[in-house]
Amino acid sequence: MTHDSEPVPPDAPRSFREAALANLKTLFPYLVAGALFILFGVIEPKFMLNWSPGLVLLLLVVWVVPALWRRWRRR
Amino acid sequence: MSWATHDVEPYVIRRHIERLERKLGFRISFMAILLGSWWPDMMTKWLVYGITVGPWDVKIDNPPQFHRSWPGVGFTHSLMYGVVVAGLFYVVFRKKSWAKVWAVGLLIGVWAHVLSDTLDTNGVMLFFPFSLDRVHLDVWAYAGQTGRYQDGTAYFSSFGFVWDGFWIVMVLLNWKVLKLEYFRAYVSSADPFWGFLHRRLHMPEQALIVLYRGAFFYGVCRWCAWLIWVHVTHSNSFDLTLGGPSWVPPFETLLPFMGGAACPCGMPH
Repeated sequence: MTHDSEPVPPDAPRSFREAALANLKTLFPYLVAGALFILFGVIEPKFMLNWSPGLVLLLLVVWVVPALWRRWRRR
Repeated sequence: MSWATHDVEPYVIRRHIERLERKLGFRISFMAILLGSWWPDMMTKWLVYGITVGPWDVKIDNPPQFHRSWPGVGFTHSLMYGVVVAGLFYVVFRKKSWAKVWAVGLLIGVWAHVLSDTLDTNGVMLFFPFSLDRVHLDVWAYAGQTGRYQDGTAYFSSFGFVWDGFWIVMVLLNWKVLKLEYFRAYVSSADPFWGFLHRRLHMPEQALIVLYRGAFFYGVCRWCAWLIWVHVTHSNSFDLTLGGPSWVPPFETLLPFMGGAACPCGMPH
């Protein structure tokens, strides 16, 4: 199975510009998490020696905080 | 030893094993490749650098010998070790539908780790137990005996950081492997691990894709952070000579049955 054969969802981006914006929107929280990781790592290199703090930070910035933010805005 | 390479190369492998998968007739687990890529050091690294347990500092007297040779745990860095780990996994879980999906992934992951580690001056016992000789290509210095921070400083001052950078660029050239569509088509659909996280731990797809991209994120970020820490914060210089950096102290590893003779390659380690 390849994703090329999948039906195009109705909310799929229509133009290159929209697709690029959608990609940037996906990338942005990863860039924020990355900048924080690098900052924490340079200040305290112990932070870089284990993958688990990095994963927790990534989950917080990319998934938990945006999910909480969306929930809060819906109220 | 390699640093970010072990986090990042599973993505490139995942992208390029599709022909092998067609021959085998099943998809290979990405998580198993990643775990296999970490496995040899998960078993050994904490003793190489030493740990503190209550009032005791536990550290090996001769880390290079312990980490990569025999006597020691150098067998964890051999091709046979990958076969044994994958074989044992398959035997224990053979009744599960995912046994071979994971076993082959573990084999590929361990082998990728072992082959990467041939590039330093300590090398690996690639053909253990048939040969105890270590295969080492001496591209950068092994510095595990100097402790975590000095090891990081040595690695990111030498060709080691170039090797990590090569794998990061390889993933970026194969950027589709990080996309949600790829994750759905090739990763989560092939491996019940993701279904387990989704059903049992109630993790939505947004969290699963973050986990999937996590090792790449960790590899890239610590590559950047170590480079800044080593060269900007602590003003170390690069030493891009083969076997460098030159300030890493030489180490001795005993060759069993040879009375502790020097390595036949003639290198001073």
